[in-house]
Amino acid sequence: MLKYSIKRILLMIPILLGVIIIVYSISYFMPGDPVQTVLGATGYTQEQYDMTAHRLGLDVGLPMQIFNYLKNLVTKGELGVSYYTGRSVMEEVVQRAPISIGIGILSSLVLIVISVPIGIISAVKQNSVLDYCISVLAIVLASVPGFWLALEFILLFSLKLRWLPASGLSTWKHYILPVACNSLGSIAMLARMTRSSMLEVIRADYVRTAKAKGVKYEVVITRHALKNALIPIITVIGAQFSMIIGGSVIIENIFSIPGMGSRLVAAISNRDYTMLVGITVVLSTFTMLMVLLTDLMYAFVDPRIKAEFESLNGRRRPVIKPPAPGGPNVAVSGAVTDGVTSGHVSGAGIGKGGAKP
Amino acid sequence: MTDHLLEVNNLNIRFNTSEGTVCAVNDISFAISPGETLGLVGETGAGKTTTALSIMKLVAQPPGEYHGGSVLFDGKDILQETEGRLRHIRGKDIAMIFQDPMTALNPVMRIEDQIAEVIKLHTDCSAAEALIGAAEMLETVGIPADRGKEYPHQFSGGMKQRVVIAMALACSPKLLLADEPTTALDVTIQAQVLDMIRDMRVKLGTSMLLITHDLGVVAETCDRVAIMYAGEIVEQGTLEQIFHRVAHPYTIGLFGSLPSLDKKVERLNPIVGLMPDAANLPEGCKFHPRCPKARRYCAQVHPELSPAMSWGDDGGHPVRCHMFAAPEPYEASEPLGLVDGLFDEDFTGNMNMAYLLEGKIGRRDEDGADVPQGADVHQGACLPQDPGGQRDGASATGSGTNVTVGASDPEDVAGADTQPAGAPTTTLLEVRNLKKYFQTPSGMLHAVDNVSFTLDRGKVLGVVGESGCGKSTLGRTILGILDATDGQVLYAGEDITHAKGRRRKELQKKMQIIFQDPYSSIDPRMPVWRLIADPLLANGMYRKGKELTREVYRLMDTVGLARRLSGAYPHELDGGRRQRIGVARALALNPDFIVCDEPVSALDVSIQAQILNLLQDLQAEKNLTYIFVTHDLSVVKHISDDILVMYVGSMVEKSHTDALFEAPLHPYTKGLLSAIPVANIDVPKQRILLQGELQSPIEPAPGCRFANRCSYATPECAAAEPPFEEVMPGHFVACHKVREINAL
Repeated sequence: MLKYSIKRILLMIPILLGVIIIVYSISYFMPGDPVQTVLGATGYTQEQYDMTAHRLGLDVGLPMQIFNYLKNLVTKGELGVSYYTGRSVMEEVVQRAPISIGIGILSSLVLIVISVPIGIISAVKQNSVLDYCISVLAIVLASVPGFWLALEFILLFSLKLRWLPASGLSTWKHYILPVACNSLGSIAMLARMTRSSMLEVIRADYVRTAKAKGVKYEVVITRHALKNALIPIITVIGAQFSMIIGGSVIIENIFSIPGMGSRLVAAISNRDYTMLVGITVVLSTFTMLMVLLTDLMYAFVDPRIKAEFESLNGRRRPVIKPPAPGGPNVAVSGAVTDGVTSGHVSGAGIGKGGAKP
Repeated sequence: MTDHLLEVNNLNIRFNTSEGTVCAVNDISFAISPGETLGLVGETGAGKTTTALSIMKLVAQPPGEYHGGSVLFDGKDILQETEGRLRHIRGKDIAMIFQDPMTALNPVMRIEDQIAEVIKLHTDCSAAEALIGAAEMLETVGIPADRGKEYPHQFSGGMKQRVVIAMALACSPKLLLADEPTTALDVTIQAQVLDMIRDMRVKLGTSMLLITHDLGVVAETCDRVAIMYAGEIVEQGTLEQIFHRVAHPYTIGLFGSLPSLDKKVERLNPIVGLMPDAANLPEGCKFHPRCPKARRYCAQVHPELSPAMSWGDDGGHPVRCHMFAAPEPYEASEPLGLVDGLFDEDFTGNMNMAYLLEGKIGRRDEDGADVPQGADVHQGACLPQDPGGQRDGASATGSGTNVTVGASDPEDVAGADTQPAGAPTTTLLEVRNLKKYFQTPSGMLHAVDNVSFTLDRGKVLGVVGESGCGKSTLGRTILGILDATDGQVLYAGEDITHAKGRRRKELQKKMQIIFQDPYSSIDPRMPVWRLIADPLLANGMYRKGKELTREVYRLMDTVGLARRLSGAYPHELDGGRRQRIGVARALALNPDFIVCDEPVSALDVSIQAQILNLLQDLQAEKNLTYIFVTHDLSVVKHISDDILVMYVGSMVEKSHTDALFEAPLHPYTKGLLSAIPVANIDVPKQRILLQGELQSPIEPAPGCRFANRCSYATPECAAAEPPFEEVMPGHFVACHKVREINAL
């Protein structure tokens, strides 16, 4: 297992390299000139311009710029200096990352605590009034955009009822609205997934075996069914976590939270590309770690997947069974590759998406 | 009737589906005494599993619904018990063994925990004591207790089924419900598991309801038998009554569908048609659309269970057939005149004439004229009018149905031998030292190791072995679907082992394959005509148009698919029809050689017999050459000229079919043959039980691969690989001890 994890962490290096190259290149080819942004629109000489460009390291070609950036990263552990504020990007990220990631984790926990039980209840009481109500509510929540919900919440809870603060992040009360807005949209997805996964498992032969043993229904559900149903649920949680991190860009702006998301938006409008690349690198690293964690969770839940991971080490196992048809093996291999790519893409996607305005 | 442990009275179970109410179980009554075993026999969809589940009140509600009747267990009605009370009965007094051991165990729980759970539920013991109990149970079923720490995926199918049995017997239940406990297992493992169930039952005095479709298993295990058809019991009696005085035409048909091991049968006598859809049952007798004895009265009135003709002091056993229930109106009404082969197999929906080739109608007619005589395999069927004279007439004409006489009749044997005469025999296929290895994370998997044989044109070679012995891989490697690791495949004298490109494409027209699973081997989104046209279009032989349509229809006729089905999609068809599509696809390019890769193992016996007959007819008609891969020895005996027995990738015995079955020489073949349950209660069986399981084909140890299971094995066997030598003329065996064992 350890060997597998180390292998996966090492695999993150080339992916990060790819992320850096892609995001850096996109910034490079984007319209707008960082030097000009730093110097102001008018009133500078060509000499001043060249000096600033040299200071920022922008007077060389793209491959050289990327090379310098990587050299800096590897030798000094530095993510460069912000064009706009002149502060070290690493410093700023270290300061802001815990806030964003904290909100992300908190939102995910809320998501899990609400959606999984809802999903189980809908599955057990399939086609009941309760099941329909939950489904309708989930679909309504899923179809409302997060930013609109955030604005409505501010209107209702902050301005009208004056229960909760609308911006900042100083007390626990400040966390409620951002976390709620961040997780509500994903609840629908996860609850539906839990429901269908549970429904499939409830009909499985081994659940019937458990019933035939005389096991109580509640115990059948929690002990026999749930653990088997977890694989797709974990997959969705992993994917939703990446989405929540992505969504924080908008939520942090609306609630004026000093996290990485709000900084990222500012960096794009300021043409502060070092900051843009730096934040993207941190976000994608974190996303990839989450994907790895998801995969390790699979092994924790399902001994078959654990065996699979261990055999990837090339260690000899006494018994080799052909892979279960369409079962978890497929799910895992899919998830591994998907996970890596989705981490990659969503990391780059933030930079790209933000670049448009 | 208080001496019965279980009494099921007039049980009715319905399912509410989107297509309406389905009567899965219809007015069923039976009883089981303490210590007795009742066999519940029927084909897929007969309602056997639903019946068993209802005994524990485990039929899911909804969609299931108990519609009257009672299930008295120890005098109390299970159907009236509360969930809480039922939980104390389930697992403790009544336990169940499920059909598929692969899915019956929770994949994420340790084996010992799964067994301990049931012990802890029903006895007052601590978790630690329950685990000790679980370890004891594992030892009892022949699994080392320390393997209890493992998970189900680390166990083979046979071992999983042992675990399921250990779980079921952990609390010494009074009644055991065994739902096809060995269907998913290999035949030697099946023999081990059946033996174990028998031993445990005797030890614990448990009664058993054994659900199966295999009359052989019934003959070896049960005291009494109930035959189910379309949710009803159609015949019920003691083993002797069912096997010697079989009365219902359906039961007779079941017997006729079985390829027999101990008798030579030229052609099987399958039941025509299919089990009707439970949502759309026919009026009157539910079997009448398939019944060769059906008369107008059968289609109008539903028969009651009434005693069959008594036989000596036997009072007659209950049969649901008008021939016994209401002989006068039955005799008075006109026969429906269904003759095997003249109609499309689809009687359940619209009755349709099949578009059979003209020549074919003649032959089938001749064959099918005396359908019920399949029963005569079992001496003394008590049909009211036993048409003995007619039977003799059939034998005299030399038609293939005369199963009665078997191989002992010289005339018949002669008839069988003259059949392939005509074309001079030439070698079509030669395989020399063929090897196919696969790289796995744990080492090299020797799927096919050093296989050599020659196959003459127009002959059938049966390749037999248990799962994992490389027989399917062999077929695929010969066809070039898999690339051979080493060795040669010669087709009509030409080395085609590594043929590529255009040559391979040409070869593909000559060499075809019929796959095992008719459900997953055809594209579910293509209609029937497109599926059949596929090989024709892919090879550019036809373009879409009238000619293609004509060719597709011709193929459909050849394999006995009604033309009106050309627009249907695979999911609308049953397994037998899908396999007919598979056969039509293989035939489309007019091949000389076909690999039949377990073509009937996914099918019910009556459908299996239909497909076997089709394959046999086609072979005779087109002088095809088959390699027939199967795990079912009775099927292979029925269809093959020569047999090759494989074990863990290598050949162990090859011989002419009759010689092999009369005198198998290799200890594995002996064990394999004796493991097959025979549907005959008169022949006492001497069983050579093979212990243990197949050796892993991954990096197999040198020496004889069977040595670890062989009772004759000496250190010499494990040291050197035995040569594959001709021990008797035409009889090859790979065994160091073959001469000692067989006193040659």
